[in-house]
Amino acid sequence: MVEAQHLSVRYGDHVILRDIGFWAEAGQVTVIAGPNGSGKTTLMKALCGDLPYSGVIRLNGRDIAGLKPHEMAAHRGVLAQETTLSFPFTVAEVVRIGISAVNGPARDRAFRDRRVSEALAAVDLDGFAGRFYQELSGGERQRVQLARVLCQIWEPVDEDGPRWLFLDEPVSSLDIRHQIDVMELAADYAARGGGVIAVMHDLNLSAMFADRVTLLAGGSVVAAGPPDDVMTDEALSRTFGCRLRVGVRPANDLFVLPQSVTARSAVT
Amino acid sequence: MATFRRPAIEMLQRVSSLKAAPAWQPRLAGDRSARARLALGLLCVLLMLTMGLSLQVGAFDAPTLRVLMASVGLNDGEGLQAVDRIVITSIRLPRVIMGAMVGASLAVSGAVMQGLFRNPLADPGIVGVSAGASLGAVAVIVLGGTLLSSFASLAGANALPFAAFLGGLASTYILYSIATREGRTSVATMLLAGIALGAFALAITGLMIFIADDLQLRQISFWGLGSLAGATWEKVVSILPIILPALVASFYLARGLNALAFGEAAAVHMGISLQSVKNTAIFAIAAATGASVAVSGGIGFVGIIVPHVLRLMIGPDHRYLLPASALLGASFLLLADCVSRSIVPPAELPIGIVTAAIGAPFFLWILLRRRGIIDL
Repeated sequence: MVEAQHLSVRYGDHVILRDIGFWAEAGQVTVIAGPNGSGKTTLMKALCGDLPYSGVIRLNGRDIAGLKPHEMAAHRGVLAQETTLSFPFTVAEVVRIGISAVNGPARDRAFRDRRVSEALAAVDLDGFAGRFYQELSGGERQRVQLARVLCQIWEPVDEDGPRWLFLDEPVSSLDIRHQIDVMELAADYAARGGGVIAVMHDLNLSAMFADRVTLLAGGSVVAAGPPDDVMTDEALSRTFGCRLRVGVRPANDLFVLPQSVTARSAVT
Repeated sequence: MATFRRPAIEMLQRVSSLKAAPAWQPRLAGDRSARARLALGLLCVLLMLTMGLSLQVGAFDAPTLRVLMASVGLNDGEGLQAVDRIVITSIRLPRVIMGAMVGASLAVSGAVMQGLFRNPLADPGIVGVSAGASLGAVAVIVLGGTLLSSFASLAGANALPFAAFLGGLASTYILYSIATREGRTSVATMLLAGIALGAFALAITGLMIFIADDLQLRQISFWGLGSLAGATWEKVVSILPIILPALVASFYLARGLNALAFGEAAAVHMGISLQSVKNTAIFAIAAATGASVAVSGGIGFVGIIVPHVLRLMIGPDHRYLLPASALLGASFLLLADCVSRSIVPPAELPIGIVTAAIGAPFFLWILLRRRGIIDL
């Protein structure tokens, strides 16, 4: 379980997160959604331990303030919105760094090669191992990084508990097919006992894949719970400041339809 | 019959595909570690050859091989004159060893700094470490008789190298204090502060030069151009305990620098203790640069050229890049030294001129080539 209690983050005098509570359980996909500037990415960064914060954040029951980077890395991998590399690494080298991040260099070559190939296959990048990272498109780079993160936390559960996949807008640069692929991969990781926390802009993908949604607005939690409870016309329209309609598809997934822009004044 | 045979074959195939790792496994595409290991071997050979060449080249035609064999007892030294021995064992051999050490530490400190700053154009010369070291040396030359006389008499013959080392360390420490907030170092602040610090050190150096007399000016300008000419066994021994730990420490940085290529946040997410990587890197850079600037003056561009060429050859993996930089840096500096000694015999061209003549155009070439790829 990942949980935050009385979490506040501020930059100077500006309060980004205001005394919020948050939790996510292993075996589930937890989505953090909200408008621009609502504090989604800041919440994610705080959970990663990247920012100074006040309050308590626990990863599998342990206060992250007392955890060393390598202890954190053994239990959660982080996919950033965008990763630029300063040197010309090949795709295989990038992904392999994920393995050596926690397992150390001791693993043999056959193991590493197989793991790299498996990870690249999982993100639909077979045959990309020899390409240079800097020559790839944004969406391909994002999937290479996901493969690297997967290598870091390959088994969803180990003897110390579940492992966590933290995804910051994982699908923002992907085409629709790979958006679904990546979300299915995340859902599969959760189904096998791992935890997934994803910051998402796409409400439809969130509705399809989330077990739990936390809606943020203005640095506070507006609503949290299963999509069916949280994603209502009223809550979404108020949170995002525009008129939204929520419907139900035959498969019982929710879908969200934006309404005409001219109707906005009726809401706010 | 066929109904029995087919499952049996499939099962066999399945078993064999599990077990049968062929004796020779094709490497994963994009894995350059085999090439890197081969390159390391070849670079060792290259270093041996350049050391041999470097012992042989010079204004005086000495029987190098016979002297070396005699000195380890492999022949009786018959027909050798005292001057042969002196030229080889007291002049050229320390020069070769010191050149190799200086070249290795210049190249490695360049590679470490580029990894730390995530920029292939970073170099100890850029963030003011070399400028600080030079200021230390110049201060001792100019003020050694007056203001710093107690330091000069205390340090004796090592006053200049020691002052240069202290200057390098001090500038790195000041830089680090400026750029570090709440346990985190901002690379952008550090680069800009480094430029400012370098300019400041240069200004004070200028002031020193302004008040220097003619003899001191000659000393300063010769030292500042960079040369291995003053190599002695004493100097080799005096920098060994500084350079060796710096080199060893930097090889432990490989994993951290690899992760740092993904950015500071990503490196921490991969389990790297950023602050300890930075501390180690900064100390190693300061020690290696300070010590080598101290004994050889301002030899520029080795730290830029060598790692860059190696990245093109074997890729940027620091596990191979750092040792390869040490080997190639040593060879490169020895070759440059050979050129500087043989271009206008019996006089010697300062080696800094040779490395700058090769390095400056090379630096511009990287800059132009990369201009479209990254923001500089």
